[in-house]
Amino acid sequence: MTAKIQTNTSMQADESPSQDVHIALRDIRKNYGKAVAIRDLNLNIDRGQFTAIMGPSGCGKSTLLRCLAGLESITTGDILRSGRSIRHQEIWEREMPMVWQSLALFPFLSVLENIEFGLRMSGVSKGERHRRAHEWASKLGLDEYVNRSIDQLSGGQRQRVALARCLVTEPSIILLDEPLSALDAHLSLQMQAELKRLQRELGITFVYVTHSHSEAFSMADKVVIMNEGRVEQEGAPQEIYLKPATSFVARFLGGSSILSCTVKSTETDEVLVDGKDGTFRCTSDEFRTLQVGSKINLIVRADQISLSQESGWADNEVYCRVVGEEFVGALVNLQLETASGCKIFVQLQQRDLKTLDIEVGAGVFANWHPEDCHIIN
Amino acid sequence: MHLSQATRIILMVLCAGALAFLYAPIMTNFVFSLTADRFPTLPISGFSTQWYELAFGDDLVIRALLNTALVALIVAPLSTFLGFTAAYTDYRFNFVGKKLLMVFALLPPLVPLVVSGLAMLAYLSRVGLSGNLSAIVISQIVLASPFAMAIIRLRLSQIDGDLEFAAQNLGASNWRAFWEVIIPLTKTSVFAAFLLSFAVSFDEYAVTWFVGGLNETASVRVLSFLQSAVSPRINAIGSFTFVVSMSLILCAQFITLRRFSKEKL
Amino acid sequence: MQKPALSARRLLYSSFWVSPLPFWLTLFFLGPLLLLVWLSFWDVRNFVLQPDFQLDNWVKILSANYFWQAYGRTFLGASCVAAIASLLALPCSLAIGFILSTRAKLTVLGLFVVPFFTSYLVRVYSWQIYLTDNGVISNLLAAIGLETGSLLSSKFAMQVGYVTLTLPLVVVIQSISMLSFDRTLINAAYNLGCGPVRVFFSVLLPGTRAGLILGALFAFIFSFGDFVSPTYMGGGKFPTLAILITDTVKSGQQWPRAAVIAIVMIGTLLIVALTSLKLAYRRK
Repeated sequence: MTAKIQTNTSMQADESPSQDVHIALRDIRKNYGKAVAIRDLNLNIDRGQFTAIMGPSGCGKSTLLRCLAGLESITTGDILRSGRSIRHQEIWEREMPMVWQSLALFPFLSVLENIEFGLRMSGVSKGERHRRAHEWASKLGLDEYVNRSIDQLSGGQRQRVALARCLVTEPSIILLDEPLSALDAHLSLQMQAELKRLQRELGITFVYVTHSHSEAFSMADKVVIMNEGRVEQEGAPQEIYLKPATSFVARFLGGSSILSCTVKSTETDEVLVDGKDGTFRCTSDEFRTLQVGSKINLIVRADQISLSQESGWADNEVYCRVVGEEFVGALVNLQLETASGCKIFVQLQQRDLKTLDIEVGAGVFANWHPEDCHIIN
Repeated sequence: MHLSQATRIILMVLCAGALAFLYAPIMTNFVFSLTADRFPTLPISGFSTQWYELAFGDDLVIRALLNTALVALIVAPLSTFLGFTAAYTDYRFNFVGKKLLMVFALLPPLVPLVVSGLAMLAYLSRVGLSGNLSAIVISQIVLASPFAMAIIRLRLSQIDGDLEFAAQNLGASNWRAFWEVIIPLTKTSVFAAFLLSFAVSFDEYAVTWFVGGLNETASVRVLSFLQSAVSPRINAIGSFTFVVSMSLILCAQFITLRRFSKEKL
Repeated sequence: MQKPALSARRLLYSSFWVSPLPFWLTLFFLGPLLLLVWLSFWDVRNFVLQPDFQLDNWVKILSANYFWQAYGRTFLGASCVAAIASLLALPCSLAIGFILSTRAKLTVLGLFVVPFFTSYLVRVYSWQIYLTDNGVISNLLAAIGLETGSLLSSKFAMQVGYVTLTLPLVVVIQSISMLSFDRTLINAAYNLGCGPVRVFFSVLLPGTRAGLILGALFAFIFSFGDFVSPTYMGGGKFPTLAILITDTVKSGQQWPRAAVIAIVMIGTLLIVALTSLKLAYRRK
């Protein structure tokens, strides 16, 4: 393949603590017959980082993980680990233990035997195996359960066994395929904290596939958002949250209003754009390079829009009708619709909603500041 | 389903009737194998084990039984192995034409026995294999392996397809993962498949009769008795074969269904 | 462009599992059947088989009256069994599907499976004892004043034999479709005001159509090729296609003619099976 990787790594690179590219995916394509699961995907996974890959179901995220583990062979492209191709390595040669969505614990083995399985496969002596398996069982709070069979464990305990089974061989990277999807919300939160803590302490690379925003954004150092077999956007969680790069990402993360506009005038500190429901002022840097007359998609985050009964509160405003409301704890998500049928999403505190005194069907002004407008592809 | 009490009772009675219809010939066979009469009639005139003595004193019967045991002991493990490979193929691999292959693998018991018998006789005699025990073994394996395959496939379908990959992911080669994961999980059903193919071999009469020539198994011996005349010796041999095959099948069922009874049906 | 490489190790592994049964079946099942087709064009001269390619056997068999009589009889007989066994099995599968407890349904299902794997020959022999002129059933009927004489060597006796052979299979197949039938549909139908009879005919029967048709199909297939019941229950008075084959083979070297009959049998079964499968899985 043509792509090269710019690391000054040697044979020990896998163990070196420096922050560099651990896994490099180069022009990966995966076809199933005529169906394309992954198309021309390039991605770097940094060493010692928590990388979360997310996207809607069918976006290719699980397939990508399976390609990494060697469960699926890639059609074209290459996978480099510390600069060396692992494309032709067998599953059992890759040393990338995985936490499976189904957990895939061995039902006929005890907890301890499950944990030590990887050590047994690599020929570690019985005493050493036991010592290390016990050590990891205790690190994950499984001391009392080591002699139990798997079906005597709760969901959370099984999760820990699956994790211990991966970590016992002290790998430099582990793969996690929606590991928390079977847990209830409370347990999932608890495990998220624990996973993040483990990852920090051990300093190993986590590649975490999920469809849940909260899991990805709460744990990851880097979030990769996939759609139709491609990477839509990658970056730090904050960055993606603040500036979704594409309308797909904005829609997938939800809570952002997208308005299609035409650039009306460009001045040094302010750009005016025409939308179907009015003219908006934009001041952020990305608008500087625009030409008059070009068409753009304007995006505003739900928490940056405020509501008012009267006009004239902020530089940008649009009159809407409330079409839906959804209460999430102390917050409320409102769905509004402009006269042209464009959807506006707003997030408010419940008490603000009370003071505003509006309900579904009412008319209201949505306001936002010029610096909160962003462009999206 | 909400059914009236009367409907329930009627259905249960009809079901019991069907079972009675199936078990009546088996039960009477046991009864008449122990009568003193030459011709089975009611009321039974007396108790006697003479038919057993007569049957098992017959050299032909003894030789047939030895043949049966020998054949079944070769057919059962080989059919189980072949059935296993096919069941595992269906479970593990994906390739173009797999479905067709599986249909092909399940076909042999559906072809009329006289047709298979004739075809195998013609074929095996062409290659010089007809008329001996190996011909019987070869053709019985064809008939028995689909049953072994079915019973093992049933078990495999209950096993998480990721388990084997999980073992490979932890460093086990494909052979090792198979040994560590699939063997422990399927060994009882493999045993059940062994019993089932043993039973199929044990009771096979038609193709065996076609290809076996002068070599008789117990069921072919029964066929010969049937052809000659009514003889209570059939009851004696029959009772014996019933006991053997029913024990085999009940064991196989117990092993196979044990897991199902835990789940909801 | 690189091609996805299947490593030699994996190739070895998969071929170890994929190849054995196809190998065996090709050699000892498909091979014989293909030979059978070829055989049907051979010639018999001075009691010796001669490889040849001539249509004589086909012409002789297909123009023979006795063949078409036997064909009609076999087809009709097998259709009757399919109907009778299906009807007899229906209450059983309903009981297994909807009345019995989980434990009981497994036991009863098991009880239906057992006879299928026990000696059909001996069971037919036992039926002979029941049905012969001085047998159990005539004696019983005589006791209530009905003189029947021998029930053996009749079409009725043949049907008894066929049903003995096929009933277990039909019950099992029907039960599987009853057990996998979505119960909520029945409750939904009740909820919409259907009576039990209507639920049975317009919800349950259509919903389990595949199982019912497959059950009947298996009964047809197994009785169509059976030679035991026509020989020992029918007393050989009603020669079926299977009997024509055994007679031809036993009486000498007329294998090519037997092969013709065998191919016609397979062809018939294939057509019946494909038609039934189409009916069973047809979308409405």
